[in-house]
Parts: sequence; C-alpha cells; structure tokens
Amino acid sequence: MASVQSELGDSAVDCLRRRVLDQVYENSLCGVLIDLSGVEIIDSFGLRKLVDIAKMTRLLGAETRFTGIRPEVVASLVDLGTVSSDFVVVADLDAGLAAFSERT
Amino acid sequence: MTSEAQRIEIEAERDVRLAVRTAVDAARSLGFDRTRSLMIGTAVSELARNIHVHACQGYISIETSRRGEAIGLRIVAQDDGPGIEDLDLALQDHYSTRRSLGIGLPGTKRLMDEFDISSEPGKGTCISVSKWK
Repeated sequence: MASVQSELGDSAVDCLRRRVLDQVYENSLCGVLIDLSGVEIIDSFGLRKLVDIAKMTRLLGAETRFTGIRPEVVASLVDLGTVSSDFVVVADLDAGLAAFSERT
Repeated sequence: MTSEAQRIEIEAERDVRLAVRTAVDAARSLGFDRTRSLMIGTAVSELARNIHVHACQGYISIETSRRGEAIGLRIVAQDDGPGIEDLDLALQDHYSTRRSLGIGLPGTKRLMDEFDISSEPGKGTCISVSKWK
C-alpha cells in the first residue's frame, strides 16, 4: 500500500513509481493499493502517470487499485474525461484487500 | 471588465504548482466552493503543464472577471511554443502528441464555462478560459 500526499507533480509520481515497482519486485507482491486521499489536483498528465504505474505493476504480476479519491476531486476527474480501464478504484482498504484475495 | 491580474511565468514544475495554488486561492476568495475551485485548479494545472511540456516559455495570468452582475475567474495561458497544427484535432478526446492521456484540452474545456484558443504553428498558443460563479 502506498499513499500519495500533496500534488501529483512529475517528480513525486516518478518517485512513487520507482518505490512501487521496487516493492512489487522485491516482495513478489500480487496487489498494490495507492491511496489518493492526500491529492487535490489530478490533471491528465498525473492521471496518465498513475495509469502507467498500474500497467507496469501488471507486467510484474501485480494488480494496482486506487482508493481514497476525495469527493471534491471527483467532479474534476469526470470532466477530464473517460479514464483508462487501467485506473481501477476501490472504496477502501478492505475492498481493495477483498478484490486482491478474490484473485488468488 | 477585469481587475487584479496575477501573472506567473511558467519555466519549471514548481511554477506549475504555484499557478495552481494561486488559482485555487483566487477562486476560494471569490467565493467558489471547494469542488469548483479544484476544477479551476485542475484546468490551470493542465494549461500550465502544457506550457511546461510543449513550450519553452509562457505564462499563466489569473484575474477576476465581471460581466454585468456576474463575477468569475478568467485564466489566460500564453506561450511561445511550437503551436498547434490542427486545433480541431487537438480538441478531440484521446488525441495526444505526448505524455498525456489525450484528454487535456477537451478536459480543460469541460472543466471551465468558457474556452477560447488561438494558435499559430511556430509562433505559440494562447488559451483563455473562464468560470462564472
């Protein structure tokens, strides 16, 4: 489980991606949950990078789920437009764990 | 009628963050609720990152805008970058030249109430957006 604070700037997301990929590889994780509750602004560039993380973890054998999107942020995400099918959101930690355990 | 323009030069990623914060704060102090202030912030993030990624230099200007009784926030993004060859194409969903999901410009248009764009290949791009309270 990883959590993102503040803005989804290039350097912050790149750092998150490295951390997640390293952890998945070293610990043979089957699932990653990324908590976005600290994020207020998600633009198309940040979204693209999050989707890329999900695609990359899948190539390492782990599914990525996102959680914690704030209600004030949802309207912006809807207006931004159709989100990739790789951006899969779960309600909370329990739902994320349930989704992962169903797979195994 | 407009007043109190704030202009932020966009040269680095930290300038993008500054532009977003300035826009969200301006929206909040005009009385926009949190959700709509973050919509404006997301649009500014999109416009400022476009400048940072596609152009060498540019600026974001943020100002209060009045039309009769209506009050709103107007944001102008001006750059001296490569410009956009085909505006109609760039405004379609899922068209992207690099790094984004191709929903940036159409997404920005949906986030705001008004959207104007002019661009000349080789000269630059100017995008003006407004949201009314």
